[in-house]
Amino acid sequence: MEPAKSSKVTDKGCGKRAMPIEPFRQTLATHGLTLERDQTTTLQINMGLLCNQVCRHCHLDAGPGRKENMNSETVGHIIDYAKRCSFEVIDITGGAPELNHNLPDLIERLSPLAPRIMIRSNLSALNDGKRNHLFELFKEYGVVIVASFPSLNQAQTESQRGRGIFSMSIAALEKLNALGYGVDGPGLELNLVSNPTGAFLPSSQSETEKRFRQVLLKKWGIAFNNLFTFANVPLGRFRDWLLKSGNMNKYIEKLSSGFNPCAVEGVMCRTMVSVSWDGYLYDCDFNVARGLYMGGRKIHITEMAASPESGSPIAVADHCYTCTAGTGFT
Amino acid sequence: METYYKPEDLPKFEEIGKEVPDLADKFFDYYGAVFSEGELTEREKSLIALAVAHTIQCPYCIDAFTQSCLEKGSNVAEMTEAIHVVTAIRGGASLVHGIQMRNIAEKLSM
Repeated sequence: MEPAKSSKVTDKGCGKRAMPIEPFRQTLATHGLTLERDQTTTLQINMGLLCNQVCRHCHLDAGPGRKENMNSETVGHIIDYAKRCSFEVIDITGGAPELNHNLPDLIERLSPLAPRIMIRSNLSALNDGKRNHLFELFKEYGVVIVASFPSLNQAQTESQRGRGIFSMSIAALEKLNALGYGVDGPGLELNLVSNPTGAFLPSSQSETEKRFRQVLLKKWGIAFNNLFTFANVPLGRFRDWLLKSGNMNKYIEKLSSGFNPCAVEGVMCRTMVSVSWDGYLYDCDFNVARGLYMGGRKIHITEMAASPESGSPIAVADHCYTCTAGTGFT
Repeated sequence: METYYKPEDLPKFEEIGKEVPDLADKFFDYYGAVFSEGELTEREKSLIALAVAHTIQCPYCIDAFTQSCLEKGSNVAEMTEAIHVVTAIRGGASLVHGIQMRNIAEKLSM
């Protein structure tokens, strides 16, 4: 059997409620750490909770029935904010941002304001046959595509993301390669994200990238640039699943016992500001899910004269253990 | 129900070092080195360990290496195939001894 790390959690069973763990803030204090902002270089935009998929690991509970979607007025506010600040990266997410009809306008107007624009895609929304114009738009503006692709195995993928998603994802990746994404030459970047398909931590990023590169090329002739492995955050639909399946306590224990003080410096919330579909600011997308406003204060993007100041506090809660477990989540 | 095998004992494995720490340290250092990436990847090593765990029928090992295989990116089909590999070896080991049986029977029979 495998030697295990010591645990801070006292629960022993698989009950329907999460057992108390040492609060994240207290763990920081125990290690003499505080979580404060560094220089903000990334603006993350959550365009809304509407999605064509109902993924079981979704921290936002996104899905086809969600009405929260960014309107053109908020898009305008975001453009104005990006003009007031100087962001190196714009990171567009959702839900499925492809389903928001304001997406082309957002990309076209942000393009002159930041050198790198990324979109997080579930691939199936992009390649549903109704959005060929988006493939061309992404190519025209050199938008970096960060695509969800959890597993090389159909059953694992579809247990997380829904029936039929695996073949749709393969087809979308083939189409992106054909457009010049992920292949040598055109400079169009295609990155993959692999989230675990259950209540376990992600595999080593470098080892997974190496294996995915070999298998995708051999089986389907697919190429990509980079692969990132991210842990699932115990919020939203994933939290519900953890509770229902009796995995919550062990999962939280795994995250909290894996706390790595060295990972705190590199967490993404230190250099990112996240704006939700309705224009309010957060320290990260997980805090959007949790309703924890940036620095604990409810501020609309129209109230911000500049990017958040270095040294200002970051709102934390126990889900933050996800980003500090092991090598961290950046 | 009271049982000899308790899931909560698995994280206590390191307590085996309490009385004889020098031997435990040697074992855990060796253990860690064995499962680090070498010519075989960590994923491949976990699959081997999972298969062996079924052969030695250790519930702790099955629990630990099922999780380890998933965390290292294996899927259930691969894990099942690994178990079939050791099952085939185990079955084959029984069957190949049938040659002994045949040799003895041949010697004894007219």
